[in-house]
Amino acid sequence: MKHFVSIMRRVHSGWLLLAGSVCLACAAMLLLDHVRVVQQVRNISVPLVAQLAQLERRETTLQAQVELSQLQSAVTVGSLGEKLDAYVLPQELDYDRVIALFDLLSDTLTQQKLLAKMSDIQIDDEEQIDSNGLHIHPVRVAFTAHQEGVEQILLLTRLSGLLTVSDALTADEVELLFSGTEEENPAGIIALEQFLSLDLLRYAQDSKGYEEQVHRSLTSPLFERIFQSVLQNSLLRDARRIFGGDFGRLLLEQRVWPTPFFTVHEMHIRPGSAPGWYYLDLVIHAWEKDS
Amino acid sequence: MFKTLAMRPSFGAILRRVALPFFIFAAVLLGFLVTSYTLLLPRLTEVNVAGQNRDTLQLQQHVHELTAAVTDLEEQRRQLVTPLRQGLYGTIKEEKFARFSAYDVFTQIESAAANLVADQKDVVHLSSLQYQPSEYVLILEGDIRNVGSRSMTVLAQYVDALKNLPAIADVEPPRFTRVFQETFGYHSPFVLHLRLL
Repeated sequence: MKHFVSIMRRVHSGWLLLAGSVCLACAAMLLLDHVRVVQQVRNISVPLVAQLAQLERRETTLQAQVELSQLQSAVTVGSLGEKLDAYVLPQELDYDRVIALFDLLSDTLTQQKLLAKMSDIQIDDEEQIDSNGLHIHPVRVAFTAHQEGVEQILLLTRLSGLLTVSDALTADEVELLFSGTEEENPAGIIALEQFLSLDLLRYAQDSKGYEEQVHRSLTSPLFERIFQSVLQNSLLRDARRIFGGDFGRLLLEQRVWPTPFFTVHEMHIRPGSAPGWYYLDLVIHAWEKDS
Repeated sequence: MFKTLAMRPSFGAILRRVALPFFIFAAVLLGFLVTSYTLLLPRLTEVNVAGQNRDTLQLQQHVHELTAAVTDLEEQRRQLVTPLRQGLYGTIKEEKFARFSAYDVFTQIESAAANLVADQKDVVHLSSLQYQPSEYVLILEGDIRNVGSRSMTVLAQYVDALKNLPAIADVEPPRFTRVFQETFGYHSPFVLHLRLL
């Protein structure tokens, strides 16, 4: 009997030791889990919570701006699409408009004493350039012009085919302006949207007036800095330079705006007979799309 | 000596003696930790977002969903405010402005020539500038003059200046020569093949 009790005590102690060891092992694992959770909170949750407030604010702002933009854009998109199809990427290139455009440029530069001569304009038959349904007409023209005149001719080819202020801005520049409105006044998106969808030529003709309208809605120094930086470093500066004067006014009066979409295919420049003057031979591609 | 050895308990006896306290200690510790893990830790580490308690994983997922929603809204706003960036027109406009224009190339080349030698504007005489953007090629012909016997050195400087222009990817090294002509003395004619970006 005594022997039996002794055996039972040994077995009992063994079970207690085993159970204690299992409990201790579980406790160690739970302790490690505590450490892991605390580390996660410190490394992940705390930065996420800081980010969360900003994200929620942006979501609310963007929702408000999208709702406002939906109301505003319903009117403008249709008319822009029509202008694009009729004048910028037409199904059939309007030769009269191409000739009228170069005629007006030639007249303006001649009056400014920046152009001595413009050659005949030769428009070749259309050529298919890719499978996207786009064609080009090579347009050959030569000029004898002063350096400033050459620059204006090349600028016109660069800005040709642009319709609105937003077309003259890169995606990054537009995004920068958007972020400026979010920081200050989300409802300012309307003023910005009206500015971005402005006709580029009308903007260039009265740039100060249209910029002032944006200033009235978005007044913070931060937005002002962003806005000025975009105005000075984008194609808008070139647009004001070339379309801001008589040439722009004539384009409107003679109904030659918007211009067809041009790209320079070849350019050959040689020095002219006087210092600062050049002979400029251009082969330009005028684009059109399939019907 | 014999007595002391007889009193020392065996290892088995020590284990039997500590078994119960050891078990009680481990069980209580586990109990505390389980309580902490199930009741205390969530209270201290979960974050209440939009009326709902979220742990780290749920918080990560929520931020991920919110970021996706913001990106989607940005895209919607972009399409509404600048609708012409999409489609055929947007694509060819992007292609046109992705490369440096004839205007950029002309003004950059003019500027490099004008600023090559300080206080002297008539050093680089360009007789031809051919720009073929479809093949990313620009060919310059001309000569370096009015710098005396340094014309070859100045030509090397001009090549370096051209290489540093934003629109130029590479300049094929030209043949460096110096020729004497009675009208304007030593000069170095060049034909430069430039690869455009």
